[in-house]
Amino acid sequence: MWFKSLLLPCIFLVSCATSTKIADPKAPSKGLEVRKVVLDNGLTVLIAPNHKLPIVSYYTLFDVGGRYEVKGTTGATHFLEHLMFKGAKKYGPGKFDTLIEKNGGMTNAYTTSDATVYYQNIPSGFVPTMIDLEADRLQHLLLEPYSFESERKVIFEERKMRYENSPSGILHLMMMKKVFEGTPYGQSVIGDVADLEALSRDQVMSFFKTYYTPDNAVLAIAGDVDVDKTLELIKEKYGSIPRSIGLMELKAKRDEPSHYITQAKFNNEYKYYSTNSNPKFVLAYNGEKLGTRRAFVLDILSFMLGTGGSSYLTQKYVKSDKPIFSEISLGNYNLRHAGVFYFSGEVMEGVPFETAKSQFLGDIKNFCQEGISAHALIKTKNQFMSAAYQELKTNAGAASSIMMNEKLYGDYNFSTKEMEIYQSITEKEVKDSCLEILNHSDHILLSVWDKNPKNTESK
Amino acid sequence: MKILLLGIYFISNLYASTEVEKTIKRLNWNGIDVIYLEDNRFPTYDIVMYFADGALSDGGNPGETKHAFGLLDTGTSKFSQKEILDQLEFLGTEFGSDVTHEYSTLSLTGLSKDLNTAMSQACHILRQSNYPKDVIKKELDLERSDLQTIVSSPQALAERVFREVSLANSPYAYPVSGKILDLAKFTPESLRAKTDSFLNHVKKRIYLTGPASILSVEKILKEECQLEGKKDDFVRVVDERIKKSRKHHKEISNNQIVFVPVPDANQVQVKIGRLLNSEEISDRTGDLLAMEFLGGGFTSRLMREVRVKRGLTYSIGSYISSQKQYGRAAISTFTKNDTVNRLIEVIEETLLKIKNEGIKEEDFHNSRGSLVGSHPFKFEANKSFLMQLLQLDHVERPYAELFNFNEAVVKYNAKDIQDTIDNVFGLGKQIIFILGDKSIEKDLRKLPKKYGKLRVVDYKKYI
Repeated sequence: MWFKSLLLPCIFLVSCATSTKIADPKAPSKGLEVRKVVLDNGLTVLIAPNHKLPIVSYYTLFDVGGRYEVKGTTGATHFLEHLMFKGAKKYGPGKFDTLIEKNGGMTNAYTTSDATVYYQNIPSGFVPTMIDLEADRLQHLLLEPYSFESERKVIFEERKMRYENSPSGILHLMMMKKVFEGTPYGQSVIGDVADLEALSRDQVMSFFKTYYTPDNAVLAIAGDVDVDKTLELIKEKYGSIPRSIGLMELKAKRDEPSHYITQAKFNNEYKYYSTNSNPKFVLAYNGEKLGTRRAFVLDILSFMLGTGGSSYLTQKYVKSDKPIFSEISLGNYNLRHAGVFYFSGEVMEGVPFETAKSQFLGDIKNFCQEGISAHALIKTKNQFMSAAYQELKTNAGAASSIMMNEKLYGDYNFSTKEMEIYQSITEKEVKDSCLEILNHSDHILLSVWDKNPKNTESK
Repeated sequence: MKILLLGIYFISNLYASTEVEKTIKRLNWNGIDVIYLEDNRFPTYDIVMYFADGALSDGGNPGETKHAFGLLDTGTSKFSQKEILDQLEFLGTEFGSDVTHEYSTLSLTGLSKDLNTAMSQACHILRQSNYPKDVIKKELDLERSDLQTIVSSPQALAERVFREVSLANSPYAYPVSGKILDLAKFTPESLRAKTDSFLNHVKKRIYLTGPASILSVEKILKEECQLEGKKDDFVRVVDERIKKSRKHHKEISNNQIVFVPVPDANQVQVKIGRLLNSEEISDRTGDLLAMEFLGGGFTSRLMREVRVKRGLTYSIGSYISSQKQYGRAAISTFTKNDTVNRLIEVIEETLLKIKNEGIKEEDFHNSRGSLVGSHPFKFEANKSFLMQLLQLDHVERPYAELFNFNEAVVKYNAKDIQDTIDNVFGLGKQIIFILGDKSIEKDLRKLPKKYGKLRVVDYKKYI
């Protein structure tokens, strides 16, 4: 769910009101102290100083994800993410992570359909070298052939771990494929096997040159830094990197709304097979794209009905006298241009799938009436606020939040507004959205079954 | 230059450690030691209640302590499970427990304005939970179902079986949560008695962080939780049993390959490791350096040899972990079915190279620099800082180990780390544990005899 990364608590740095019901959404807030600068070449830089400890988190987002991959090149974005650690011109092969780790830092990255994010947690004394390392690989990535082939094998192992050997991973891949059929979001971010086998160094290098440009990136630093000196150094190291040519036009073309109109065949059911003994399932609806008020309402709705031991769905289906699921939850995944709203769960041992399915599908029409209440709404808002504070407790959380807010909402301090939006959402709004999506929309049912039914001890 | 750089880090970290050390306050509430970290940055709190006993207290009822704590929220005479969960979640409180063989903890996290209310709720269930029979039956049925289907999570299954196999014949081998057969033994009365025993007779400590206002929770802990520290409170000691286990440890052959077949897996889980006796876990700083060098990050020796050079896996790591009187060491990784033998060979070659050729000074300095430079991160999140203090208290070591860490690290050299790796991970002493598709057995039988005899094990014995 997006809300976890978006509920970013740059706000409420003063004590909350003493009410035992709900914190005052209009409580004075200071926000994080952030300096924002956009370099001449378009690189957006955000710096949030925090001098508590001599440590820093350094986050870089490139506005490129699996959605920009064209037919036959699925997995290229993620493959490139791996190869970014293999070395660049100034520091050479094998030096990027060696330098970071030997100085006490760590580095990693992740790729989604919408973005690629690189991050480091480092001692503050290492910041100048970190800036140089990142600027080096942004300009002069080596992509050595030997590393390229070795890393291809690694990615196949990652693919097995995350998806082929994971029933939940299979469900996620297939949910994206079916719900976003015919759109860029239907493509596998880790890549289809055939595409991964065929991807060439030239294709990946071309991808790098097209999308890894300063005007397509946001750099966020949180921690023990001198803001002026750090900005000066960033300008020195990144400032001469040329901005892209034609990228914004290319992205505008790729992001045309018509490309994101799903061709999904709703009201269909799909079955898959894996190692799980009891059937797992996803019941998915067309959701909402990121940033709309409805997206925030659906965050509240999904959390209210499906998160926590006291939630409506858990009480009704897991902790009831006759449980039919061993787990059940509700997710709201908002992407830049589309979204999916989905139940996911696992059928209880000994309960036939068809029985559980029939009961659940029959019950859905009652969820909005039975599961939404003023009490549940306040509880959800309290839980959002508590989670938001937890995220701000580390430099990594702060850097990630201001970076994502800047990219997604054009406002690094959007968390303040975000919390106000959540607090302003009414019970009626939640109920209306609930009825609209659960009572008046079509769905797709995906399930994954045991490919070897003798696995289970007592079957 | 390197020495200069290291010096700079020492100075900055020393500064940080000194500053951080000042934030620790020691209090005593009704005879119970309280360790408090004041933090006024956020209106939140973390509180951890430590009990100096764990699953080793279970005797003939394995899993009882784990379930006594884990099922606290199932109901009281006043509130149902749903009401209890709803009250805690309404405040955004996270409530949880953890039980190890040697100690147990209960923890709460939330907004500081709500601490007293949340703690009152926690005290109520601690003192009043009556573990309603029908509710605990449902919870235990869910747990049974999870265990019966654990084969769908190869990594989780591998960790569970390897743990028991590698700690065989020690008091620590049996899982703290028990096995499927044990789940039928728990009754409301036995669980209540276990909780009362911990509350009334086991030594406790409180670890707390948040703004100064949260110290008002003292009254609730005293009056509602009725927590009191007494001189004769019980502290788990297992010296005699450990001596026994050491004897057993010599008797069992660690030099063996244990294969756990599972159906239709296209990836093999590999773990190489063993139990460490109490005398083998005394040098924690040396162990940390050895772990860091061998399998501690993207640039560790194993990562370079197995992933970067050969693409045999996505991830490989090593660990040496310890409680008060025992420890475990392991290398953990996975690979595709047809490269498992090669993977084991490469790990062996890597370990032999370290043994025979030693560790280059540059590589040693890299590992040492990594530990020194990353040290301040241990203080960043107060909850993790608290848990480190808790762990030090549990193993009866001074906090100075944490704050003087950098001074301790400089006393080691490359030879020390070479020896530690050989002593702890030398292949002749290890259990090589493999979980994967049954079809790979024929390949495993081709492994050289020096790795030990192949034993095929049914995972169902371990769940």
